[in-house]
Amino acid sequence: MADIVNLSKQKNRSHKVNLRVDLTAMVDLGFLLITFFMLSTSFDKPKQMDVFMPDKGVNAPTEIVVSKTLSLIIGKNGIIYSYQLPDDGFMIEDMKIDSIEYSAPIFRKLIFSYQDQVARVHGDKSELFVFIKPMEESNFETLVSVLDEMKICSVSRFAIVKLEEVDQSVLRHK
Amino acid sequence: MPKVKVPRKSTAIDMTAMCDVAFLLLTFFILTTKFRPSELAPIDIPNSTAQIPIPDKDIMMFQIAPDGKLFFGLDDQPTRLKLLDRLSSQYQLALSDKQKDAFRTLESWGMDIRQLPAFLEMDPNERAHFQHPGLKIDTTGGEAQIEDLILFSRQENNNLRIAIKGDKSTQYKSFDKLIQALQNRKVNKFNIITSARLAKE
Repeated sequence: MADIVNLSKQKNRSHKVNLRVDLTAMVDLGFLLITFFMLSTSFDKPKQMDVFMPDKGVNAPTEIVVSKTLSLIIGKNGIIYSYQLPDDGFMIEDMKIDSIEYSAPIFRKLIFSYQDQVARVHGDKSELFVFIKPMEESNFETLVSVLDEMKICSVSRFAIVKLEEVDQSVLRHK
Repeated sequence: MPKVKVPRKSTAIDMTAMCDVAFLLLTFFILTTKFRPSELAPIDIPNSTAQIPIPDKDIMMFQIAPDGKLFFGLDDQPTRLKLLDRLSSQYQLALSDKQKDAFRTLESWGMDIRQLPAFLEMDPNERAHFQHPGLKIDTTGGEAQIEDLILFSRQENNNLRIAIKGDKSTQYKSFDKLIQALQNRKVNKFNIITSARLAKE
């Protein structure tokens, strides 16, 4: 896009230097570099989620009333088993075990129902203590979602713990 | 009859303003850009509603690939060098300056610590295409390599925060092994890296 210079007009005049620089190439280069930087930039910075694990070396574990607790067993393919034990003795045969396939609305409904139940018995729904027990085959995504839901449903007391003997037998009866 | 004069307009457009805009944008992108770190394995991170962005510095990053392989990375180059010094005295690695320099620029890696010298000896192109076998996990109580990495890095840099980047489909058992190692070194607080999502009602 060089300037079209009218030669006939210039014939008799003194030589004049054209001061205009062709910037097209420079603009091209500028946009090329912009494109490169836009593509290589990662705008959505990943977020971090804090996780606190119960201390391993504590000799005297904190005692919690059994009926305030809820156990969530995270199984394969996003299946979640949940149960709550009564304060007095129990038989595994009569235990009520819910199993759901993880999805946020269903899971929230489940947590809310347990929160209400704890609120009825103990007067405050924040008394609920959730044990999250992921099975070895469970996937990371479900665990993260469950941890996230704890925050959304304002369950302030929860812990990731290992599967215990009772959980194994619960699963066998399932 | 007088000649009709058709005014001749130049087809050249003034590019100055456009050039200004282009370079303004360019400056913006150069200044804000932070290059994506190279990944050893494709990791698809899970979503959560967590809103805290990961800090820019002092991060110890563990990556867990879908198949359970574990990779380790420090973001700070001086700390990497100090860590390497500690490792070479612990594991009796004899390293040349060239190998140390290769480690300094290594974003993340995952292999038996004893394999490091051989890996660092490779030429850069070969190194980039090397398939990392994953950190050595020893649960039998022998050599605790992951524990050493955690301990040494934290001793060299007190402010290190621990971030875990796991794939959606990673099985919990690989995650659990890492947590056990962290807890053996009295680390009970760490961060899981997630991408943001909205809490749907």
